[in-house]
Amino acid sequence: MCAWVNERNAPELLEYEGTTLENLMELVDFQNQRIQSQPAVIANILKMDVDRVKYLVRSYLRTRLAKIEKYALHYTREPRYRDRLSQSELDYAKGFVALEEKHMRRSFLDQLPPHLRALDETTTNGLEMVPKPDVDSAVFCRVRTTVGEFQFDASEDPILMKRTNIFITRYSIIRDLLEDGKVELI
Amino acid sequence: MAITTRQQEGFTMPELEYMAQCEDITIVPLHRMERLELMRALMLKRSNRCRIVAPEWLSYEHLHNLCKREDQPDSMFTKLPFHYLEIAQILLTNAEDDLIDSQGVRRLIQDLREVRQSKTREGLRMLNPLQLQMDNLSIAEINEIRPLFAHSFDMLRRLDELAGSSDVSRQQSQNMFADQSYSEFDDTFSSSYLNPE
Amino acid sequence: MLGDEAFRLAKEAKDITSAHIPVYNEEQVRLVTQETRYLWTRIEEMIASLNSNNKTTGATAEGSQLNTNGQTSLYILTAGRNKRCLLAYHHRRMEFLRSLLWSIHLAPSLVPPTLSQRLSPEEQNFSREYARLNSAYRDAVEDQLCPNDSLDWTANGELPPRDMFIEVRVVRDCGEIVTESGVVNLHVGTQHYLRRSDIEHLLTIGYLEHTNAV
Repeated sequence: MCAWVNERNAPELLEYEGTTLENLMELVDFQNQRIQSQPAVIANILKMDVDRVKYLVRSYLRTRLAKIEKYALHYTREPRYRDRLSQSELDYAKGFVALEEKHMRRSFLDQLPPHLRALDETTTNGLEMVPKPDVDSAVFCRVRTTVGEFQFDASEDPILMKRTNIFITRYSIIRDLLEDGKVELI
Repeated sequence: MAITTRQQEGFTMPELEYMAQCEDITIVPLHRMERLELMRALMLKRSNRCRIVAPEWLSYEHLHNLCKREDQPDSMFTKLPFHYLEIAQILLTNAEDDLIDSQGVRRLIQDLREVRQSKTREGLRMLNPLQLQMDNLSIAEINEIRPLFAHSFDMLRRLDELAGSSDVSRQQSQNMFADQSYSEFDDTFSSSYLNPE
Repeated sequence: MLGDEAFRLAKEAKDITSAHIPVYNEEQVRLVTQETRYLWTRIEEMIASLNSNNKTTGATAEGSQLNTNGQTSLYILTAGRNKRCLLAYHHRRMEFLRSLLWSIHLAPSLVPPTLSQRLSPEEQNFSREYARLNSAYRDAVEDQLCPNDSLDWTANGELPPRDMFIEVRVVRDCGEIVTESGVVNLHVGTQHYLRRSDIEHLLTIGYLEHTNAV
């Protein structure tokens, strides 16, 4: 549940929680086998469990797909992000990049002068055309284990971060704390 | 898109209720008390196999006190469960007969919510491009202010970048909502909500 | 004026909402690509003439050279801007298409005719290939995570499963529905306490409304 909420709130793609997903789905498989042999009341409860887990897995994966589509080119190029994708996600990202490019090419790029046909050029005024996630954007986070004094900015006094404290801040500032599991996004 | 635009900006109310149902709650199944997850309690309740024991905070008296404290000038946000609005909504809809004075409770939840809303609006004025502490806000409340706060925060940040890293005195304003009485959480809160007996 | 055609296209891109998409403006796209090609030919001519001027006359014609330089950069900037408008226009439409496809279980055949008329042949092609890309992904994930079960991949993503009763008011006559606990007559103005999953679809289309929502 925490991985899902974090993924939903983080501006960039987070590490793929492959093992967690596999464990969850193993549980679903186990419950599915039990459902048949149970009285209706219990079967209902088990069915509910199965549905809830499936929703979680589905929404988690779809959240990632939506992010992958948004920054597909960037994620497939940067090794840092490529390592965070599952094999199926990487295939999806590559497929999506190709599909988008093909669509643009056939719709109008092929009609432009050859010099203007690239999708990843840097324009004359320095604007890059490959969209990237904004890691400085605002997030709400809650402290899971007391961090102690924490410096939000080099020029500011440190602030005490205790369990259950809630902050709105830049994602980049608390990214390491998130990776260490010390804060969670909410 | 794989998830809707609304979902890219935050959570839907059904999603929050979905999360909230993992919280524990006390029920009376057949004369003895048990604690289990809210979703299980609801299923038992629906088939008349149990009565749900309202959490202590979801009583007229407790909410009345909270409202009074919340209404004091310059007060912090009072402590409530992280999913208090969803749990209240779920119980008021699905176990109304297990609540004492459910109409009063419903009204007070609404009042409490409004007082807290106006407080968060004040919080917006204290927003700065670095951080703002907002202890004890519940997830539904955060979800509600998320689009406005996140956009304002990002805008301030860009202005700040434009202005260079000029040191505007933000320090004194930024922790208006810092919770000074953390230990109180364990005392009043966990004891009333987590162990209602 | 220079770049006007692209501006019109950018404006159309802005008009796309989650509920509405205008007809694919093939003519406008053609006008913009045409202008861009024209600009580029002129740019190449100017650069060629600058080079030859430099060789033959040296710095004598400085005034006219500055003028040409200004003209060239204006053309280059406009060509770049045209391309960005084209990209934005198509990108925005693709976003709309993806949202639409997800809402109809990634089945391009379910695109309502009123909408498919507004799409270019390329966009219809994109829809089919996007659906294919997704089913390849879904198959790979299901093979790996749940070979004996399906993930209900395209189920409504905004509604987590619930097994709860809610109180609803009937806004429009729905006739009788069969629920787990028997037949219920949903007559205008009446209120009922029903299992959510039995009436979710009626809530969505506005035949029922949820009473006492906090």
